[in-house]
Amino acid sequence: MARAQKLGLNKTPLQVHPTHAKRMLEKKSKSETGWGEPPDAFERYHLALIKDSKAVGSVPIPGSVKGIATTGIKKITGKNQEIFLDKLGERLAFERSGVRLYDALILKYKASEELEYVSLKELEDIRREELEHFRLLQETMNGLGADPTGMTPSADLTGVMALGFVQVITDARNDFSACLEAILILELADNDAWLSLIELSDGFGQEELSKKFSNAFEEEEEHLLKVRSWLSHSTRKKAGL
Amino acid sequence: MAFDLIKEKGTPLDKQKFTWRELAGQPFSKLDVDAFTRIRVILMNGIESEALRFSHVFSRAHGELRETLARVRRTEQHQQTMINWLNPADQSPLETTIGYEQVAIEVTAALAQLEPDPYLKSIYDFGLLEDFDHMYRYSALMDRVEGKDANNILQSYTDILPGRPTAVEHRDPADDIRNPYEKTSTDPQSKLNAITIVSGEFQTHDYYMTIGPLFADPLARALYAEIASIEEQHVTQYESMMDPNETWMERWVLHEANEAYNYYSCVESESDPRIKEIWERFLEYELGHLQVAMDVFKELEKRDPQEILPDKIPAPIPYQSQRDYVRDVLESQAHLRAKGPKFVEPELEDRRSVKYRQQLGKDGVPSEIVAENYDWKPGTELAQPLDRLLEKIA
Repeated sequence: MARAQKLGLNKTPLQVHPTHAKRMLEKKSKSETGWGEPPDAFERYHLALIKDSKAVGSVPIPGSVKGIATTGIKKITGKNQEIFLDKLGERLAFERSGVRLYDALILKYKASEELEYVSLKELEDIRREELEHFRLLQETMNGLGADPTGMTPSADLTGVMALGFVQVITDARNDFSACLEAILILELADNDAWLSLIELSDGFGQEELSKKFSNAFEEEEEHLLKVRSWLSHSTRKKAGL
Repeated sequence: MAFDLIKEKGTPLDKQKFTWRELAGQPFSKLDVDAFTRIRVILMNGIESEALRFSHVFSRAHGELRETLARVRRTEQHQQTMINWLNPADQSPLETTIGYEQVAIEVTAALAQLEPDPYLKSIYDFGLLEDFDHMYRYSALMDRVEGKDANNILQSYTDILPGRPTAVEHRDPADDIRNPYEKTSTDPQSKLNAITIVSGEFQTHDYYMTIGPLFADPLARALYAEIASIEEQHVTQYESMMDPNETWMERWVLHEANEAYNYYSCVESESDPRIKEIWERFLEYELGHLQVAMDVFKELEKRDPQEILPDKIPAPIPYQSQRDYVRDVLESQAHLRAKGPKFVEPELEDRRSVKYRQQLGKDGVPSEIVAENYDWKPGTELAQPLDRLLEKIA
């Protein structure tokens, strides 16, 4: 599945149709309706609505899960609990979607011609680790008395962001190397988010969790290094370097 | 809250006003809203969409009513906007799709139980199991492509199980046409039910046709193409229940009455106070539209609209989980097929429908591929079962 980037077919630049472009530029496009909206109306409209808007939603209230013990997990209460659960939910959603994105990337790999810089095993290993990270977060949330099946507000926002990745990586027209750009952004975000979660765990005195999250972070660092390397190889190969 | 459909004047048409700010106002929270509020929002968008569609086609056939219809339609347009724009931007097209199928399942099941005519009820039962299966397929898509759990939208009110397999729902058009009710002898409830269900299915079809090509995943695109085709079949099926001899004016009066009935049903069940106010306001608007329609009806048909309307407002459509009813229908009727207007055992299905679906499916059937071995689990297929989680932690 080689996708060479061809020159000449893209119709989007102005210069593609110089005659039509010249005709467009003959006319002033500024509206003269005189409706009377002030010059800063764009900003004022947005500010008014932003100030009036509520948050996308709330964090699910932890229920009591029968039989849970808190071995290795200290109880957190109040506002701290809300923030921690929200961020745990976010990471859980991200890792879970990440598994599916790697499923899609693996399909692209299988559809490709021989790629000497990456192996199927490496991709499957990353996919397995993303799954383990998701399950770690499931256990963590369960251990805190929270329901890991819920969608927290930050998980929701992460889902919105991830839709862009889904669109790029699942599109049959984007080959393996095109998808690597999206995966790189995913892994960059993932790395920073794990660091943030470790900081929160440390701040709440959750030593055991912090250790487990640090292990996950080390694996994510490896993922990032690998993806960077693959993208670099792929780009150089395409450029004939 | 009881009221008289004919005597209540509602809000006069010239007092029905809006601003852009309120039309594109605060959406509901996808996370915090009760699923039945989302169901009401989706259905009422469909009810208004049908009002506009009907009014436009009516206008083409009755030139003398063009301006009157356009005036009523302008408010319907803005009502539809205000309702549909309650959907928040973080609710993705696929999440909204899950909401649409939940509407189809819960509302169709509710209508089936309200339906006085046994034959018409059997049509609702037949269609219900097909939308039920669509939910299962879309849930599999959401899990396997996006890594998300459809139950975050369904809130456990509706099962995620296979219904009548989408793969066998594809039928020759002759097997989608049902026998219509007879307008003079049928219970007005049946007529209201028919308009409600056609409204829901038509908007679902249009929605899938609009968003289908927005998906990048090739199987997602194919699944939407497949299910959109069934939704067109459903519109054909439900529409065919309506007596073709109903006059345009009868249909208009019934449409307006049905809109009022649906808003009334929403008012009676709505738990969100802000959105309840919208339903209350629009109930008054529809009563105002009904007054306009009845005045024209009296003038043009020289008849009393009471002849075609129920004596009193029927019991509201119940907005609650219909799980037990759906499971009963699933158990007893999932195997049925259609032959002309009747529902039959699989071996009696006409060959024309079998050949039709074999042709479409010869390169693979998306609904089968996407959901192969799919068994919904809380938190998606990737999740550890909760009981295993408990063992690990204890």
